[in-house]
Amino acid sequence: MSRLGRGLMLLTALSFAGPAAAEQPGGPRVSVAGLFTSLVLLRSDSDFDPSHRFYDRDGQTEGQAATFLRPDVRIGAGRGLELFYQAELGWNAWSLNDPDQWFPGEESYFVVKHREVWAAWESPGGVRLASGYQHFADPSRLFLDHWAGAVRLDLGVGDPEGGASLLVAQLPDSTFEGVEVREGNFVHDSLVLGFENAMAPLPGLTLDAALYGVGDFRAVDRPLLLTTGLAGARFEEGGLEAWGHVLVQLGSWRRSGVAGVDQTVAAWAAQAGVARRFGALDLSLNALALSPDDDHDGNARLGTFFSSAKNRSRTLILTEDEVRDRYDNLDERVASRWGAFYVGRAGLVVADVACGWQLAPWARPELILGLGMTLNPHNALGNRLVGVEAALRNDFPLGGVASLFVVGQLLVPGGAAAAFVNDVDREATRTVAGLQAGFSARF
Amino acid sequence: MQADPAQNGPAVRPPPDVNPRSDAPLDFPDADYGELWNAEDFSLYGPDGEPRGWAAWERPHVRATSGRLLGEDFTSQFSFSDPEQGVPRPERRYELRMGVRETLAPTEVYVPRRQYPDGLYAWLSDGVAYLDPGRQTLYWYPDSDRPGHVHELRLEPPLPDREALDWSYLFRDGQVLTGRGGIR
Repeated sequence: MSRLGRGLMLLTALSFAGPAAAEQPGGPRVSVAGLFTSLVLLRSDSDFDPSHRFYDRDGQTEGQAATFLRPDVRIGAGRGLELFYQAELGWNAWSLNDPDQWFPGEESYFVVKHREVWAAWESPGGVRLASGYQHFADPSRLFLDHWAGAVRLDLGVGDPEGGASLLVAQLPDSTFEGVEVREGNFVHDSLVLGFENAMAPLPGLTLDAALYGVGDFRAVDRPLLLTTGLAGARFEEGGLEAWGHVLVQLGSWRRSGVAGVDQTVAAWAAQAGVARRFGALDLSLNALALSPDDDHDGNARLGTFFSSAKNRSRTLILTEDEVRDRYDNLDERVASRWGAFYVGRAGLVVADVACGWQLAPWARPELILGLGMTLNPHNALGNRLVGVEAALRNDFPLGGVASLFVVGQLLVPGGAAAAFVNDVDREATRTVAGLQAGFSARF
Repeated sequence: MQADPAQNGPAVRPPPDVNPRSDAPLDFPDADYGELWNAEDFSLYGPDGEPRGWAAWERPHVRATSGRLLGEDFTSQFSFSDPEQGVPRPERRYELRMGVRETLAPTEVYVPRRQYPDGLYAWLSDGVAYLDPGRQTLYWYPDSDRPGHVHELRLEPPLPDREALDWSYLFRDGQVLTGRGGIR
């Protein structure tokens, strides 16, 4: 049976186990939730240069209509046991993915992913143990924001004074160790160990402290060892929300530099922001920074921050569009990947401001402005500016469960973005205009 | 060329004292009369001290490999290939294929500056690479130890009529960009 078939059968079986969110005395309690989005996206160009070239695969407008559904099923099995399953159908592009395609090997086959499968047990004393494929993130999201197989132990669940967590995870890696159990071990894997502590000394205030270790042993004889410390605070009360976190990353990357020298990792990241509601107005500010490397690639010091490419920025092109990640945001395109992390040697600063206005119960326009810069222009062919982005988002709620949305986008790319993104002319900085519209529902 | 019965081989006319085209005294090797013995000029350097035909002989090549060399290829500016619809004709493309890594020492590829005056893109199947512009040498540290793995390296210059997609590195003017093709 195909993966899609198995996923849908599981969903169907779980859904028929009982009505959504209905409590059944003596039996499991099943709740179904999800997010549905259908949208159309149009942009004048993707690489800042719309001129037509003989061999150019881009250089023209881009556009797609697509559908995405992320259902999840939560089963409260009683006596503290909870099971969770989440799937993602999509991103399925109407022009490519064919619901009538029966052969899973075809590119046009309907895309489905199994995202989370975990079980958790919680004691009456606030101790919770979760195991399985699950999502985990550090409080800033700058370093860890991943889906992976993990075991998580939470202490002080529900305690208003805070709690602590232990995390052990294994990131998917590319080192082939065989399919059978006897062919695999933990020698060439990528492992995460984390300890998080949250204290709430005052109402609404949470102080975060965390320490994470990553052992990336995928490259034989060239292990990467990272230790990342995090400190910061979050505040949320009434209509005010504020956050600020600093991350320091230290480690070593054996035999990874020129002439096989060990590279010492010394990097940092930071993020701070505030959101405030003034009646019908919402205002939010956020700024983040990821440290760059020095001018010399491969020397004994590596200053680049290994990041998740996730953050709290509201921008849609400079950083990930939270309506739906399309993996084309600029913070990822000006970086490269090392395993589960993004590495941008030029560093990055993104600052943004968003202002929303509840014009009417059925209309909420929001203006988002963002600015992206590199921190070391030498590693971006001498360019500092990544881009300036403006977006006007208009939401039209429908009955409190669904909404229509229309987003107008404008990006003025800088030389730093052109250096990485344009595949012919690395100085092309033609403005990109875009329109995104769709129908979204949460249930 | 007619055979010379006395020599039982091709006849070689003795060169004149001056080049009849320019009336300039001949100074061998000469562009028209070559190196005297066969009327062909294969000199790497001309009388003016400038390199000749460098595009044919000044080419990237591997000096040392971290694994068994399976093959290397360079498409010079003089190479001819039938055009294929939608596929850029290779130009100054260097490709290296190598068997499983057997040492931590790097694979060293000579990368002549003369072939890549505007920099070069590098695509790696795995590992990291560093370019030493002074020594005109690319040091490639492959890292996959998967049995049967074939390590692959490709170098190309930036060209205005085609896209360079998903490259691992761009080396230009002493600067290094690490691209979406990634270091791994």
